[in-house]
Amino acid sequence: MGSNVLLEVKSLKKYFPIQKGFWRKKVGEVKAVDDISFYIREGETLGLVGESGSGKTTTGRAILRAIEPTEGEILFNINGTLINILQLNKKELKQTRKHMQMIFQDPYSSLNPRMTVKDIIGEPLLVNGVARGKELEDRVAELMKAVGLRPEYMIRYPHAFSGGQRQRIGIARALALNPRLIVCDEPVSALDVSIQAQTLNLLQDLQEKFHLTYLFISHDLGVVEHISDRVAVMYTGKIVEIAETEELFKNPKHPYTEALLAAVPKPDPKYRETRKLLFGEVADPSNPPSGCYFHPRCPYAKDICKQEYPSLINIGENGNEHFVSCHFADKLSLAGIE
Amino acid sequence: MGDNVLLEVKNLRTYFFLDEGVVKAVDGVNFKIEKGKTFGVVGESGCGKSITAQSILRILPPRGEIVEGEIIFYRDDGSVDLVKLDPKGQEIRDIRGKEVAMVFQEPMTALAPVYTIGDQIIEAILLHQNVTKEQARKIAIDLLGRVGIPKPEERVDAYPFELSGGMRQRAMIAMAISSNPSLLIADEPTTALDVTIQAQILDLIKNLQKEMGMATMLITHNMGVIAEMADDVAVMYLGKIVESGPVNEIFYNPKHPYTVALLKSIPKVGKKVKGRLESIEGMVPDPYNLPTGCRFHPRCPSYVEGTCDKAEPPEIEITTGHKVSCFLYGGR
Repeated sequence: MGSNVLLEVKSLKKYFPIQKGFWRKKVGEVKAVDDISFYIREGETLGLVGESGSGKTTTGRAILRAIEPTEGEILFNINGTLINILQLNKKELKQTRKHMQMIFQDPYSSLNPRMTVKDIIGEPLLVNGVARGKELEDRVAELMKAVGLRPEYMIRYPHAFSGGQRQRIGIARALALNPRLIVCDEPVSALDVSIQAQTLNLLQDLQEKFHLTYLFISHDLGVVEHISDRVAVMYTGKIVEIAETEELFKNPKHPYTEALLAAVPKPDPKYRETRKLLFGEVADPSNPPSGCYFHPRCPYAKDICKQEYPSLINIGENGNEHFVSCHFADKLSLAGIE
Repeated sequence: MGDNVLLEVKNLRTYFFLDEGVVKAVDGVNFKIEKGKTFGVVGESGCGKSITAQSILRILPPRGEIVEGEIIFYRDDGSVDLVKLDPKGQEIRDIRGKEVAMVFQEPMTALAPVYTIGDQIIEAILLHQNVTKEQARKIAIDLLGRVGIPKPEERVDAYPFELSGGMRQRAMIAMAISSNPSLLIADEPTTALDVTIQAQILDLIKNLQKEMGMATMLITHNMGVIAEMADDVAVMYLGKIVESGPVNEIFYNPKHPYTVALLKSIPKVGKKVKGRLESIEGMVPDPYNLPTGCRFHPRCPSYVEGTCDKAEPPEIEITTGHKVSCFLYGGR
């Protein structure tokens, strides 16, 4: 791992208690994020894919401490100093949060309908005492231009904008404090295809312009492949595979990644009938199966898979990193996408 | 008319009369669905694909009205124009759910939360078939098994909230196929589901269709689902079909600038484009205030001033079955 690592997550866990009855007695735990580790380099985009309930959103939120993680370390590199975000007090956290922002999935519920665009984009500036008055207005206008909105619309309310434009407002708000890291949680899932492409292009342009680092959370493999430098695949709270994007798509090493790639309907009729179906459903994070969580659905499962959870190991060749958590990672030959 | 046509929609116009103005949700749509085939309708939100389906079943939301057109449903014993039927009358009720069934996008809201799935399927069976309650329950259990729900004799007494999204969608499909419909309308049947579950449900629909010989009208915004499932495709934009034809023609030989742009703007798995995606400029216009002439002209890269903004392009058949409405292919 080089010195240009911006964020490093070590053994992050987030367990939600399951409560029952009048006294809200704890009867179990949902292991939404269960001991995951990864890092993101400065300026890169790490894609985080998985199905619903795999823990991608919880991971994104835990990094910003929008929810309190149960355990682990989140090391954030600010100009050479490593800060463990989980050890900060409230005041320090507020200082550090300037460097990390979030873009949300739903552009309808993530913008306050009673605030004007100027108030929405300007709020982080005001809260952090960065700008006010005319200066604030100038900065908001600048941000609106950067995301392709007309500054004249500053005094309008969110209802006057379409879904794609609202998402741009959300992006402008995230950019307001010149952050280093942006957690993008399904930023294009609610948008139509034509608007989706515009928004992805905008995110890429902004990344280049402002040297941003993205953690890009999505369930859409096509979108993740397009925008990410590296991809991590999650299943029931665990990372099962991380590799460079091209490597992961061409040469997947985890049976779940293979199945996921095979399940996506490709916009090309010639791929019909070539699909392998994965039976069963996503494992329940409050009551995961024994051994490898994927074994009940895995076509390659053997006895050991029912007993032991495989650790995430690097099987990359020639100094390339390719982490897989599968007992047979180096023995299976799995199909990727040509 | 060929013998294979099951449903023919002619010049259908469904408008919404609202305080803010008239929304022409479906504006002059023509298509045919053949027996046993899958007809895919693809388009972005607001293009009128769901309203087309709701017009067929006559279940339009309030203030929506079919103002013109015919929807002819061909049966062995003659044909019937669905537009002429009373939406609350007995005749359409006999067709709805029996001969034409529908599967909705969100299985949680489409199923009643306070009845077991068994109750709901049994209700559908009793409504359309002449059987006793006990027989209907047996049929329901058999149907749940056929759509791949494990332990159907137990699950028949489950409430919708006790099932996962994929299982709920299977239960809804079981209900839809309970009376052997000749046409299944599936409106975004897999949009709310995860990819691996989506693949299972698409496979299920395909197999049931083969088994029962029913036709499917598949409505989706996902080009991948269309490529996977459809025999024929219609691409809709703002209430009109801009291009239609056999699936291979649409994907390998798209003609309308909108279809071309739509196909280019999807990030495809396994075909990483370096740098930017080709996107469609602008956004879908305000439905109260539609552009003149061709509705796509303000966003079209091949826009010709004085032509595209003046008149509506006629539908031109390029090769057999492949129709496109664009001045690039004639009609100026």
